[in-house]
Parts: sequence; C-alpha cells; structure tokens
Amino acid sequence: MLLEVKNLKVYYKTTKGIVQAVDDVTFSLEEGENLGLVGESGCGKTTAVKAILRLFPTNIAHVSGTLEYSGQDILQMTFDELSRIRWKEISMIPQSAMNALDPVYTIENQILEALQAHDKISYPEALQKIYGLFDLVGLEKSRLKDYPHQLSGGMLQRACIAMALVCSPKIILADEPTTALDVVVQDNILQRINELHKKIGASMVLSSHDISVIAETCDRVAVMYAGQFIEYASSRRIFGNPFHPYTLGLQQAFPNIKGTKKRLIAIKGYPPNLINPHRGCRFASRCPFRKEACVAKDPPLVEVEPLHFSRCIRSDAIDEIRRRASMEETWEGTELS
Amino acid sequence: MNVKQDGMIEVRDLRKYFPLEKGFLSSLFSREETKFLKAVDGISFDIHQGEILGLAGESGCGKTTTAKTLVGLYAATSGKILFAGQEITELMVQNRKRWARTAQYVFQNPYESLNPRQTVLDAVIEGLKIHRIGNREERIEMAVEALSRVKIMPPGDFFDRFPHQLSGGQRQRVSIARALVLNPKLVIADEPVSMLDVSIRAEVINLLKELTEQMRLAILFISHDISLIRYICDRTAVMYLGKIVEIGPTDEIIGHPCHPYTQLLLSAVPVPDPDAGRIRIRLHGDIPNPVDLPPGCRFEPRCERATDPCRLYEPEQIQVAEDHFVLCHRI
Amino acid sequence: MAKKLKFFFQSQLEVFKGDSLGLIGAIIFVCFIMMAILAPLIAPYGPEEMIYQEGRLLRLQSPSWHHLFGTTQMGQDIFSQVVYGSRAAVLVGILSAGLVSIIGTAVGLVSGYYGGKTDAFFMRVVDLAYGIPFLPFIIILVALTGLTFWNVVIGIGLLLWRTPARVIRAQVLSLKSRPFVEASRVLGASNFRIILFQIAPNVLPLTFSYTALAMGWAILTEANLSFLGYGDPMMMSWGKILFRVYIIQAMTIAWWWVLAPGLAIILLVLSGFFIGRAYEKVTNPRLKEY
Repeated sequence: MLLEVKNLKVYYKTTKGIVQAVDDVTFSLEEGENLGLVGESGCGKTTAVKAILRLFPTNIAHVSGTLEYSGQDILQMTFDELSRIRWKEISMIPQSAMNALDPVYTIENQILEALQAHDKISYPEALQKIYGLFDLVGLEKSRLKDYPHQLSGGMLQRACIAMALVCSPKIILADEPTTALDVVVQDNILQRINELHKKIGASMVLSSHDISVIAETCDRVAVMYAGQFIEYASSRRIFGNPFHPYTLGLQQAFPNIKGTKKRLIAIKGYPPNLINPHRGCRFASRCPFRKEACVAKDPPLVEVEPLHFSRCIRSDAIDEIRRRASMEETWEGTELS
Repeated sequence: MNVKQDGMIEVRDLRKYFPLEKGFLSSLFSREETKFLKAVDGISFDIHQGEILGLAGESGCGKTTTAKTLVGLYAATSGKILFAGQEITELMVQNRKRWARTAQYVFQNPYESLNPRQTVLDAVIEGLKIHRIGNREERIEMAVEALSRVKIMPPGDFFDRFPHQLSGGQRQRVSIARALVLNPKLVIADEPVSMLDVSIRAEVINLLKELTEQMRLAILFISHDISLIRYICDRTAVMYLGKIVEIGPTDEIIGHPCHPYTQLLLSAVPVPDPDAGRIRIRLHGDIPNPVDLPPGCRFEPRCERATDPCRLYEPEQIQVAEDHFVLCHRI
Repeated sequence: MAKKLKFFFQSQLEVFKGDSLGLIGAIIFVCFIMMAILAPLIAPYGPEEMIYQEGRLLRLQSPSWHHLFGTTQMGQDIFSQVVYGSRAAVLVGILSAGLVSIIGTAVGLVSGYYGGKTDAFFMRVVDLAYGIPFLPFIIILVALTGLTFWNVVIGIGLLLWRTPARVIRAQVLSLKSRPFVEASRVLGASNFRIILFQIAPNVLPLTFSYTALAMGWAILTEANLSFLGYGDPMMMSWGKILFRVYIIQAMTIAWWWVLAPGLAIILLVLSGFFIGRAYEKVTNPRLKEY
C-alpha cells in the first residue's frame, strides 16, 4: 500500500459559515495503480487531491484524519519532512497549466528550479534529465528556452507533466489535467499519461468531472458527491455495474459518441449546501429512488460486491433501480431542492 | 426537416480578417504589408427554420468569430449573408439594433453573461426596453412568458433575484429567456453548456431542442464537444482554421466522416467505457499559426493522406452524398 | 423604483458590516456632519468671541470644564472654534469629493469605454494633471481668484479627479469585454445605454471608494491652505486655528491649542480613508478577511 487515506476531513471558513468540503473520505493507493476521482463542481475532489500534498487554502478551518505514506502520516509531518516528500515522492500536475507557470521565467528555469530544489544535481546532468522527459512527453527541446506565453495550452500542460516527473516521484497527482484543453490535445495528453504510467510505473490520483477521461486512464474509481465518496470500485465495475443512483444518473447525463442515440437525462436540482449539511443521504433530495430511511440516517459506505463500495442503502433493489434509471420519466419526478 | 424559405439564413463565402497591429516604429519605417489573422476564410452554409446546425471544431478554428459576425458584433470583411433571400451583410452592422430582433446570442459563461447588478426581471426585459416594446405591465407579462418557457418557475419569485443567487443552470436559462423575449428567428448558442455541470447540461440542451420546435427557431449550436453535437444537432459543419472542412447531416458526418480532420476529431473523443478500445489517429505537431498560413490545404501539414496538390492548391468543396460536402483533394 | 432605492441603501450598509474600521469611519464622519449642522447649538461661544472674566481677557487658558480645549491668545474658546471649524472641513470635503468623483468617473467611463483617440486624449490630460504640483497650484489659483472656499473646492476639483479617472478607466477596460456587456450590445443597446446601465453600476463601488478618499485629501488640503494663511477669511477652519497659534509661535506654550484642531483634522481625514477602504474591499473581494 503506497498511500492510505483514512477519515480525511477538510473544512474551510467562509463569510457564511464553515464549509465541509471533504467529509470523512477513506481510500488507498497501490503501487502502479491509477485512482480516479470523479465528480462535479463543489464535490470536493480538488480539495481531496490537494490535501495529499497538504496544500490547503488560507481559510482552512479544520483538518483531521490520517494520510499514511510510507509509514508516516503526512498530516503530522514536520515542515522539513514534508518538504522532502513534496515533489520528490509526490508531485502534482495542476489544473490549468497556463496559470501554474510563472510568466516571467523560461520553462527551463522553472523545471530546473523544481529539480535543483530537491536534488543536488549539476546543470548538465539536470539538462540531460529534462531532455529525457521532454522526449517522453513529446515536446521539442528547443521549447525549453521559451516563455510560457509562447507555448500553446497543450504544450504547457505537457511541460507541467514533465515538471511533475522531474524528481521521479512515486505518486503523481493530477487535478483536472485536461479540462482546459481541446479534444484532440486532450486525447494526446491522455495517451501520454497512459504511456508514462506503463514506462515509469508511478501511481496517479486523477480528478476530473469527465467520466470518459477517468474511464480511459484509471484502474480504480471513486465517485464523489457533496464531499463524500458515494461509490468506490474498480473502473470496470463502476462503469459496468454501477450501484449508486448518482453514478447511474451521471451515466445517463453523458452524451456518448458511440452507441445508440438516446435522450440525455438531467439530474434535477443541485448539490446541497456544505455548510451544516443535513442528516441523511446527501443525494436524497435529487434521487428518484429515495425512501424515508434515506433521509433519516447518514448512509454508510457498504461493500456491495467484493472491493466495490456504495453509499446507498437501497443496493438490494439495484436491478430495479438500474432498469428504471435508464427511463427518462424516472428522473422527471424529482423535486428541485 | 422542413425547409422553408422564411427565416432561412444563407452565408456565402464569408470572410473575417483581423489586421495585426504593427509596432509604432515598424509602422513608420517598415514596408511590410499589414498581416492579417484570417479567422474566417471563405465559409458558406445555410441554416433553416426549425433546425439546429452544429458548428464543431477546436479553439482557434473560427467558430466564435463566425457566430459574432452572424449576430452583427463583427463586420464581415467580405462575403454575403442573406436572410429570407435578402442580402443584409451591411445592414446588420449599420443597423444592429434592427438585426437584434432577428438574431440573438447565448453566451458560454453563465457566470459572466448576466450583469451582476441587474435583477432577473431587468435582465430579461432589457431587450424590450431597448426596443421600446410595450408598457411596464406588458413587459412583465412577456418576461413571465419567457421565463416560463425556460422552466424558471414560478417566474414571479425570480424577478427580484440577482445572478449570484442563482445556480449556473438557472443563470444560463435566464440568458436564454433574455434572448427569446425579442422573438428572434435565429439564436446562436456559443458553447452554452460547457461551463455547466454535466448533470445539468442535459436540462439546458433538452430545453434548446424543445424551444426550437415550439418557437420554430433556427439555432446555430457551437461546441467543441462532438458527442454533444451528435445529440442535439440536425446538421453539422466542422471547422478548421477558418474553413468548413465538412458539412452535412450529423448522423452522416459521425457515421461516415470523409475529411481527415473530422476523422481525427471523432477518433479523439474519449468514451466512458474502460473496455472500449479506440482506434486513434496519431498526429504530429499542433495546429499551425493562423497568421502565416501555407498556400494549399490548411490541414496538409498534419494530414496522413497529403500529396503534392494538397500542398500547393486550396481544395474545393466536393459533394459526397446528398447534402454532404467535404473540402478535400483526396476523396 | 422604491424597491431599488431600498435595496441600494441596504447594500451600502452591507459594505460596512464586514469592515469594523469602515464602520468606525462612518460613525466619526456622521458625528462631524452633525457637529457642522448643529454648530450653534453645540458650541458654547461664537468662533471669534473673546471671553472676559472679571474684566480681563481669558488668554491662553489650559483645558478645563468651562473651556474643554482651552482658550487662545485672544481669549477665544477653542472648543467652539473647532466646532465651527468643522463646517469648513465638512463642506469642502463633501463638495470637493463630489466634484472630483463626478469628473473622475465621467472621464474614466468615457475614456475607458471608447478607447482610441478619446482615450489617448483624456489620458494625456491626466498625465498633465499629475504633472502639476497640487498645493502650489491651489495656492496660486486661490491667490488669483480670491480667497473663498468655493475657489478652494474648484481648485481641488480641477486636479484630484486625475486619480479616480485612471482607476475607473482601468475597471471599465476590464468590464467592457465581459460577456454581459456584449450581450447588451447584441440586444441592440446603444453605447450610451451600455455605459449608463451596464458599466456605471459596476463601477460605483470604486467611485464611492475614491469619493471617500478624495474627501480625506480635500480636508487636508483645506487645512493646509488655511494653515498657510490662504483660507477663507469669512470662515473658521481648523487650519486657521493652527495658523494663529503658529504665527505667534505659541505651540510650545499652548499645547492644547495645537492638539485640538490637529486631532480633529486627523479624525475626519482618517474617517474618509477608512470609508474608502471599506468600499475598496467591495471591489476587490480578495481583500476581505474571514
């Protein structure tokens, strides 16, 4: 087990109250495995991913739980210990590369900075290493001397990937790595991510709102909603055998370029306020399959199949639920919260 | 698909070039001609009443420029735009106010397309105030109707709300209501759902479909998401670097793509199925600089099928099936 | 319409809710306004009234219960002088600030929205305005046109608009490319309509911020002028009080004579700055603390 996250909670302050952005999340990451976090805006996936590197916003209110990496709890480490892990063992590809790179320094300068901050390495050696990485990500060496504004979005993202790989980390975090990119460029980047995964063997934690991106890159998938994991299983099982109504709803809402053309179904309503979330299932107000019991108590994450977890108490009725989920009328009757 | 003569938009050989500004000194001293960014470089298409035409392509292909030219925000550099058989290319820029009653626009960013200091009611009746339609009561009635059409219910409850009190999906629907209140014939929707959550997109998309039928609208639907275009558009035009490389019925284009770029685009779409093996078309390099364009086909530098004529001559539109046209030498 | 006004006032109150310094500033400002309006009721004596006790002038009395801020060389009650002096300060402050913000906002809106030659022209005028040293300009202007407080107001208005003009222009530049402005254009709105209804309302918090700041500067300027002897001879002002203690070099003897007007100036000017900062936070929410 490379990384073990237990009961992670991250809350932050706003003028309106304390937002429970990540609320009791537990997962693990094996060596060489890719974990995908899927969810829409506000579900907490970005906060969860950043928490792994202990990157918290300035208005942080509460952090609890354990983040065990190589036997140590990241949340309890001293700043020095943390600095030794950051980038060397765990690195990150940020969401929009255009904003992650400093516009007044060349690419070479920035990658070197990352490398030399963590390793005592001479300039010629460093350069060789970077050349190797550029080959890996498909960037011309000449691009090293360019400034960020001279590169396209796809190139910038690839530069960021190279930067994330420069210290040969064991875990790479990718927060919506392709969201700001065009589809052809996105495809390119996804291919590279998969190739790198085979060549380098680092594990990845990838977050995205696009289920197809996750489907194509990840071994295990966690679906997040309102700060919680609501389904957690292997990629095949989540897409082939979904158990949670939200997962089913997402599948119905996604247009597919292949397959028969059927009507897209929206999930009415919107996610709950995470300031003092109400008791019971957080998806209940939008769920066409809710019962009284759903709002009475917080539903726990239960193992519905081997290594397949779902936070829904109605998993016994799953066949009926799956059948009804593909019909548009099912989702019509839900109330707007 | 009804092909009525009324409300039909015809675009012929439309071009929109943006001059690139030279620096102060070079404009004084150098003899270089002004360079142009040829954002839209000779496109032709029709939009019929009751139809949703998709405009697909990646960023920089010229789809937004096309949209803004069609709505009168930009003046066309050359080419013709006809409405119901009449040429209106110059009129729509000179008298944009009048054209506003025919063509409206829905913007991509729901968080920026409503004035944060205007209430929902004010935003929706803005068009009516500008064109001096109706008195206060009549305007409120029209606002109620527009908001009901976009399923903002009950409309009265939302009148005094500000954009920040609405969700992304609601804001986008208010934008649509604002566009509809003038009863336009053409609505241009520029990536209307790309900034909305996935589970909400279907709501807005299905709404647009309904409205097209109910109000006999024509919609130009711009998107980089081909899966979405497949879902909502009757016909589709694929753009690349300012040209329409393929145009035809959506099912045709997706089922039998002829242009290498269309094939590339379709092969690049990820699929939400971990077991689906995709046949990807691998390309070299990125999109070339739209200012210094090569003389021949624009796609030639990245095309596997390219031959000499492709490098030297611009291709012509070839008809490959009924209503299906491709801009390529190698069909 | 009434609903809109009500909402407008409510939103102004919102500005101060989050900012305690801003609230203090607002309270101080209101106190001084009340002082200015109710001066004859608050001040026990006239501003120039010389007070006798047992046939002799009450010169240079240190603060006591009868004379809260003491008396001057000529037996005048300094407290009353400060109270009456608030009139000049508040008047000059509000009028100048109003003038500065109207000119500055108008120029900023037009310059930013239309761009091109219009923008170039106005920005060069702003550059010119920045090149002119503020106090010497006002002194010369007042010396030439007469020592009235109206001329002071005009003088301040002629130069200080330069700062809000630049800042508001920058805000307009970023606003005019936002989709909701384009949307208005697509609906057929004229430029005039767009500036008035789409852009101006979004620029208002900045306008208010600079109005408050300008008020601070205006009050300081008026105090400076009066201190240098260029104040309106018909009006009592805090600067004039300081002028009088200075010309007889009594600062070391009569500390109360310096302290009272000095504090008044500091308080009122600070209140302007605090209010200005509170509005600045509205425009830039990132300045908020949680």
